[in-house]
Amino acid sequence: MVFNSFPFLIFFTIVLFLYYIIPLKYRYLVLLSASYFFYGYSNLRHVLLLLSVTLISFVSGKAISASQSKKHQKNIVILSASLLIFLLLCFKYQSFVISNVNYIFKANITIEKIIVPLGISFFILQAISYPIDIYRGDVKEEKNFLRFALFVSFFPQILSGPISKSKEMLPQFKKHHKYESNNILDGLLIVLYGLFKKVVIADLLAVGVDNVFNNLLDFVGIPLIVAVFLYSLQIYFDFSSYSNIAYGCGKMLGFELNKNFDVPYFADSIKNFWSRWHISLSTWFRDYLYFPLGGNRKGMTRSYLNLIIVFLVSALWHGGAWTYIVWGGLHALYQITERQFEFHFKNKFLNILKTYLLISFAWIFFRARTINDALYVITNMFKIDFIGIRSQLKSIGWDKFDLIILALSVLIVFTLDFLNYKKEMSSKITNLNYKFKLLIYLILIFTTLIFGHYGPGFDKADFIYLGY
Amino acid sequence: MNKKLEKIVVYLVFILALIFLLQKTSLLFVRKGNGYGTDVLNFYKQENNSIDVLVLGSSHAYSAINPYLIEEETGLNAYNFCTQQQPVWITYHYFKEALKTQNPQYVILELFTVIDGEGDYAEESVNRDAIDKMRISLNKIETIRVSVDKKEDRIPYYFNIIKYHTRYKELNATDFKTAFLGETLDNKGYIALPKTDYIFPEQKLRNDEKAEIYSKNLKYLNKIIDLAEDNNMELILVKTPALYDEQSLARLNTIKKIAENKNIILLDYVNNMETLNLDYSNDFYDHGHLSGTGSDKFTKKLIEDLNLN
Repeated sequence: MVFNSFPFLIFFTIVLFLYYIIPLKYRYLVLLSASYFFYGYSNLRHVLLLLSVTLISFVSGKAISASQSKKHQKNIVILSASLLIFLLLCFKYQSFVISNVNYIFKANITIEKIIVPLGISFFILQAISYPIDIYRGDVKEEKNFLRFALFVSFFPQILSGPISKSKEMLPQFKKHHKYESNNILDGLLIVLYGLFKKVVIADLLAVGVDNVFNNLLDFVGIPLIVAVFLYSLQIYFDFSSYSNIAYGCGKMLGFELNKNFDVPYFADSIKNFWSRWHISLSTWFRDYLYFPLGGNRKGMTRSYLNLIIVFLVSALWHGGAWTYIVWGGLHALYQITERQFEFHFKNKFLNILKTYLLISFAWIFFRARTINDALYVITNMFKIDFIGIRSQLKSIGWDKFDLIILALSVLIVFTLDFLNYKKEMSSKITNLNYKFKLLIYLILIFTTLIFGHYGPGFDKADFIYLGY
Repeated sequence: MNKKLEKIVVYLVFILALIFLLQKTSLLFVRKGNGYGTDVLNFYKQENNSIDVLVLGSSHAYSAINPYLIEEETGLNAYNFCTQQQPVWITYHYFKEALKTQNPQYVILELFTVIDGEGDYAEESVNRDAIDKMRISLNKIETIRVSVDKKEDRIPYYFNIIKYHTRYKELNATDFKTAFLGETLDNKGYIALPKTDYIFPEQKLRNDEKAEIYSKNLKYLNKIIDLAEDNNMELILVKTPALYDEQSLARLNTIKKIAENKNIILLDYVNNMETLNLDYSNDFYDHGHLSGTGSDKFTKKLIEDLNLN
């Protein structure tokens, strides 16, 4: 079940209703049942995996709490993390490993294709972090298994994050969330804003981007450049919209989920970008990989090596493909170059532009189906083809109405982003008069209904990060 | 006004505005049709209990029966509540819809889709033509349920905007007039089709055999019969002139038997076409539809056969 679907609308309405009519102390059970239903809706068998992951993490946490020996505790952390990573490898990286083994050893190993469980990369990271948090003393053992199971499976975030830390979420699951109309009003506003970004902008961008990247050989020069920049917008609108909806749903239920995006394309350096893009993932890797590796405390060379490791692991986390590895490698290279040569302009705008161009270039590898496709884009994007350009731009697949809608809606969102960048906008929106919020609801609902890319005749685009 | 009351009023206004705008945008974007058959919105504008003769069926009905001529000749107010290729299960729900506001003396059911309709579901364009402009009600929901197979495909029928929102690229004056001025096609559901080059062939086919009616058609034909009976209305089954094969004639014979058993009038103008004095070069639009001149001759004969005057 995905957020931009009719079943989810019905599901969430029922959950919200049940959640607020049930006595406070049992409300987490409503959420747990809803979360397991939500997860099992698309594939019931994957619920077993979710349960196993939850059990491994919970039992490890219990064992760590029970143990007095730091060494013993550390061994349990290593064991549980290894087990969970092993599960991730089995489900997600099988075909990548086998295709590479076949390539290197000229072998012909085949296996039955496994359907990768949705959200596996997200909930396994949460499950890995819990025993570590107990080991570090950041959080106390959660004694209630059901409450812990909710932490791993909480439906607004299980499929695509934001990835939460146990110390942030477990206390929230213990808290009794009373009904507050402001939570509903604000949460719904954020959900509607997310849906607008997904259905009006990201899915329309997807049409053009897919047309180019799925038929690369038909395009040369400017259309390729256009597609690269548009993909940078698509992935931002798509993923940030998911985070908005997750955050908004959480808010309506009384929870504060992590902020996952903070106007990332206004970043003035690659380092700054990673503190604004997929924040919950970058902080996870920082806290549970980069710091344990020594961070930047062990000298420059070691810190660069750590950076490379973190980015390569992060790249692989997105999926078993060389395209991701090159994408991660590029980001590591960018950061090292930035640090080593202090590659910054004096003008802030130029730094923002430079950062955006570098990021967009790296996205080519993230989007391309193969390394060869990415190399085709790079080697052909600066070629000039004046004769074919009109027909190529036409075959991107948008008409003048689509272009107007795209231009206007991107402008609106970036203006809001810019205002947010300058000042904290979200608190101002929260403080708006409720009548004004209701008016914004109407505007968002009807612009999405009318200009959205949905309904019969449209290929419904899944959220990009549902694939990870 | 205290704050709590003010909040309730504001939320109420918001919900009403949401419903109002949803209804208006649905009307604005919905496909307006091509003037063939009933504009359902126009049917809703008819004064309560003002229709004396309710005509149900498909294009065979709305092109053959001229309600204006009925009114002129008999003083009875007739209305063709029909859409193209309308399957019988939609006709049944149209009948129910009509009974919400009307109490007709005569209900004429044209039998084309009862006889020739096959399959449990019609094409989307046929469903859309019939269902899109129906007012939201339990009857509409039930119409959608029996007309559309997959549950997920029914959703865009409940909310037209899902289907038609991309029409923002082609909106015209008619769309706005329909949505905001309530303009509808006032034609009593009738269309006088033009004369074409089509020449209706002499039909000498006779068949006394009976053949099975498609089960879903039969089920809803019986429901229509029961509904008319429950409401003490005179139901008249009519088959308008058309080029028929043996199979269709055999099915028509089956319906004749049903009508006979239930004491219902059935007027068969396929086997009795000669009584209409039709000009085969001018009075047919094609093998199943009469032209304007043909419909006038047909309507006059219908009035005569039913003793409406």
